[in-house]
Amino acid sequence: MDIQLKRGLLDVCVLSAIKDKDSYGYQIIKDTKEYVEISESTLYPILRRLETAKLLTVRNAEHNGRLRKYYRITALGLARIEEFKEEWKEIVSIYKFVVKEEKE
Amino acid sequence: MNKKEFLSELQGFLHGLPEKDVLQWLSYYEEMIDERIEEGVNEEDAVSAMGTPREIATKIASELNVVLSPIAEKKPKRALRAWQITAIIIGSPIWISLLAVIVALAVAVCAVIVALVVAICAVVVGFGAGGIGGIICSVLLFAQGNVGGGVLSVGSALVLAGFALISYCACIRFLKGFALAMKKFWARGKKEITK
Repeated sequence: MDIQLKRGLLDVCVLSAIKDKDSYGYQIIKDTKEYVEISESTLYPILRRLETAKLLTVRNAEHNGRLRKYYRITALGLARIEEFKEEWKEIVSIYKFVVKEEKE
Repeated sequence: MNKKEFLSELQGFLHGLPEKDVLQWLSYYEEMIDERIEEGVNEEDAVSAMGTPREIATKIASELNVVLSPIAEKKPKRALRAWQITAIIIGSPIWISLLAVIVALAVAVCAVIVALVVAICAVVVGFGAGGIGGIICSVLLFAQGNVGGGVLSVGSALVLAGFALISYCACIRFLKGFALAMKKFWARGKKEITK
C-alpha cells in the first residue's frame, strides 16, 4: 500500500483505539490486531506523531511497580476521526469510479 | 537474550541519535517487553517478539527520517552573519539613496497615472456641464423672449452634450483598456518576482 496512505490510515486506527478510553501501547496493539497488524516499532512513531500534532496526550501511570504510558485522545483527535470518515466517503466514490472504468 | 542485554544492544545501535529520543525509545521497548512478561510470556520470548536490536534500530532510523523530515524541511531562519550586517551598514549611504530614488520614481509614476485619469474624467464632466449650462441658459433666454439666443443656446448645448457622450464612451474604453494593461503588467511583475 502507498506509504503515505497507510500512515494516515494507521494514525486514525490508533486514534480510534483510544477513542473511548485511555489506553497504553501494548493494549493498542492487541486491540487493533484483529484488523491490522501494527508492530511495536510501527506504533511508537505513530504515537509520537500524534502527540506532536496534539491529537493525543501522554501521561505516565504507575503499574505493578513500573511506569506505563497512557495515551488519551484530545478534541483534535476526535475531530480527526470524524474528518477521516468524511474523507473516506470520497475515497469510496473514487474507488467506485475506478472499478466502473475497468468493467467497461 | 534477556531484556537488559536487548536494551543495551539497542542503545548501542541507536548511538548518534539525540539522547532524549534514544531514552524514549528504550523506555518504550522496555514497557513493551514488560507487558508481555506480565502476561506470562518468559523474558527471552518477550524480547525476541520485538525483533533483533539491529532490525529495530534500522526501522527507527528510517522512521525518524520520516518523522523528522517535515521538521528538517523547515529551514531555520538564517541569522545574518556579522560581515553581512557590516556590509549593510557600510553600504547604507548608497542603498538608502537608491531606495529613495526608486520610491520617488514609483510615486511619480503613480501621480502621472492618477493625473491622467483625473484629466480625462474632467474633460467628460466639462462637456457634460457645458451641455447642462447651455440648456439652462436657453431656458432663461426663452423666458426673456430672446428666441434667437435661446435656439443658439439649445444648439450649442446639444453639441456639447454630444461631445460629452462621445468622450464618455471613449473615456470608458480607454480606462478599461488601461486597467487591463495595468493588470497584465502587475501579473507579469509578480511572476518575475516569484521566479
